[in-house]
Amino acid sequence: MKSKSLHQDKVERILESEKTSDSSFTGEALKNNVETAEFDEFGSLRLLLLSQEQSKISQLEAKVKTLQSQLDTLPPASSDEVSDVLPKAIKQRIKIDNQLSKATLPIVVDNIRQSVKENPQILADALFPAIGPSIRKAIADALATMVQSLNQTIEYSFSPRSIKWRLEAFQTGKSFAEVVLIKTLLYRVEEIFLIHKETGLLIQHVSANIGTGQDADMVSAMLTAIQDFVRDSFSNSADANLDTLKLGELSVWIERSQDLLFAAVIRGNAPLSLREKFRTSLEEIVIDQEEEIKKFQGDVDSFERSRPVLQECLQYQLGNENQSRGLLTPFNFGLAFLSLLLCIVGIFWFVDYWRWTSYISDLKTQKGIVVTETERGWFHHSVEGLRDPLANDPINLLKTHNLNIEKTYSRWEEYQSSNPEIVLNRANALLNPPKGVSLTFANGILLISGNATRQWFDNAKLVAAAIVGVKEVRINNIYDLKEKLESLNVFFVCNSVDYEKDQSQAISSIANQLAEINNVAKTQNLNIQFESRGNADEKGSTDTNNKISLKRAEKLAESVRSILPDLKDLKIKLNGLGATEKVGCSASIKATLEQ
Amino acid sequence: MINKKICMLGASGVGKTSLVQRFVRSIYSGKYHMTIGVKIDKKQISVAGEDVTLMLWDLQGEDEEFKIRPSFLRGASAYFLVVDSTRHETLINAFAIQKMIETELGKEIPFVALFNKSDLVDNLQISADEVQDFENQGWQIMNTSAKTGEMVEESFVELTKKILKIS
Repeated sequence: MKSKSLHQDKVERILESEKTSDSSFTGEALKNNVETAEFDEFGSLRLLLLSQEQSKISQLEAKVKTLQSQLDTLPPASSDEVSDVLPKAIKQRIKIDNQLSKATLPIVVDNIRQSVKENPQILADALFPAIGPSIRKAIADALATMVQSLNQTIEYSFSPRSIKWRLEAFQTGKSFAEVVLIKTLLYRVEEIFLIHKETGLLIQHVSANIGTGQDADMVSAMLTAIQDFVRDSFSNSADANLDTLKLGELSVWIERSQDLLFAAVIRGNAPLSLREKFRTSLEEIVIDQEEEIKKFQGDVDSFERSRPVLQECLQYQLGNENQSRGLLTPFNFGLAFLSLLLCIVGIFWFVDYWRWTSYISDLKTQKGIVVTETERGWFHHSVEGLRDPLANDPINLLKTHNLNIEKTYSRWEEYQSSNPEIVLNRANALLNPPKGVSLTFANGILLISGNATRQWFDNAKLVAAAIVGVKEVRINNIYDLKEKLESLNVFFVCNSVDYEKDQSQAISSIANQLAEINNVAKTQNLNIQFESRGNADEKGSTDTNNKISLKRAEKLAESVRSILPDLKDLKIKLNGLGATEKVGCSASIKATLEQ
Repeated sequence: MINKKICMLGASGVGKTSLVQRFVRSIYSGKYHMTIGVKIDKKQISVAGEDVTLMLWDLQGEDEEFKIRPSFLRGASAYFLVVDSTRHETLINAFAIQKMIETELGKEIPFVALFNKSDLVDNLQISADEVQDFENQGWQIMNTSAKTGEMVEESFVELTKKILKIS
């Protein structure tokens, strides 16, 4: 107050002295103006109109000059006086607006720049306590993130899994890093505990699960105890903290403020950037509930409003969603379509293969057909071989196997098959046997049996001998059989009914021939009579010869019956012919057909 | 709802865990299981119309080898000093612990001294004069038995009253 009044006094004194000199100064100026007007009419007019104003201007100019000279002679305001008013002035000014900050900003910036230029250490020392811990933490987090990513890169670059993922990246058009992220960063924040650091009491708890296994109060107390235990046991520093606990796929991430612990239970592999989210949420709660935290006495109800903030932290990332999205890519559609197409083609190929194979194997079993070469292509098949004209037509077989005739090339060379069935067919075709005549063929022998004219049999015998495959022709015609039977004789010792030596062959031939002719007659419904005829030589009396020839006929009939047990009841008429010129001591059997 | 942290302190084998088990679960096992580190339990009680959740920090008993970790005591609203009535040395130990807590946490934290195993009447080693001496020093002493349940519930209620400053 004192210094201010002194200053004011000085100013007032100057003004006072100015007043006293005013009148003399004004009179002199007027006189000068009148002298000038004598030379100039305009000047005199101006003098008349503006003389008062000009006089006032002149007075003011003189006054300013005087003030200026007096101010120069004043002593400067003392630093004591300025330092007394400056802080107060600054405070008042800041309250009004930010003009002072704006005004001083260039000076401050310039000063800092100058200070750093001269000695950077001063600023570094000043800032270190404030930002040191933050920098340490940031670097540690960055390093941890780098190590995590490096570990993952190494693991994912050299494992079979990585090859699979690279393939998937190629298929889905995503980058490899993106695929790795999707596959590995599957996590869920299951629970969050907000704990009062000092007491270990649970302030707030949120959980992603409907029912949690453990009592949250006890978990948070135990968590605090574990932290204390670890710190006490392994570190001397009170600042050392437990940041992460890991148990299998579960991990607990811990963030802390001055008074609170934020513990998140995470299942899976969460990105470290999630920590940033936790940290922000914790800071938000700390700012929002600063008062409640400071005054905390175990009353947890007042922290209800921090619940939504914590619930926001219950984050999760599911890989399956991404995976299922990946299934709907055009590539996968193409792949599915291609697979379907391949499947259809495969089925067609298999059906065709199965038909062709069964056709060829069927062809090979056909009589009169020899397959020499087959070829199966995608669009055409071919088969080559030999075919008897009397064999089944291979074209018909193609139809029965549902094969396309137009797409199958068949080349068959004609040949004469020696297959018994074909030979028989051939014989039937050439001989054209009349009704009542049948042909059989086995082991190269063609047997012609039946009832036809003698002329037909004679012709057939000639033709059949020329048929390919026929080695021998046998006629089973009853006339030939009858002739053959009647041509056979057995011989007796003269004047006796005993057979001569070595007649057993002749007897059995007669018996077989008789049996055969009997069979043929039966099959052809012919009535046949057999007569055993005995002969004698001309020696002896006629009566004796008649008797002995009859006995010889009887003996032959008995011998035949004994050889053929099936024909033991066969009626054989006996006839003693007596002495006959040609045959002598013999016997034979005659067959008579009754029409 | 108010939550409070309470510590169980005392020498090794005085029955701290048994008292907690009796109070929280109403069970008693004669077998001795040494507590390592700390064991935490929880019990809700209602005192004078006020619901209080007690977080019971059952600390490892102190002996020659092991001293109580002060970090576990931090933030406790009150504590029990447990003494084995059949072992005089546990009283000395309790006294030492009490002094240590006064140093670590200050004098204003309430506590109740529990003279446990009071059912073993034939083996009691602490005289009535000694009890009187401690009471004169301001100790509140209660004779408890985790085995029979005698005064267990009451002692917890008493300590809670001290926390809530209800006389």
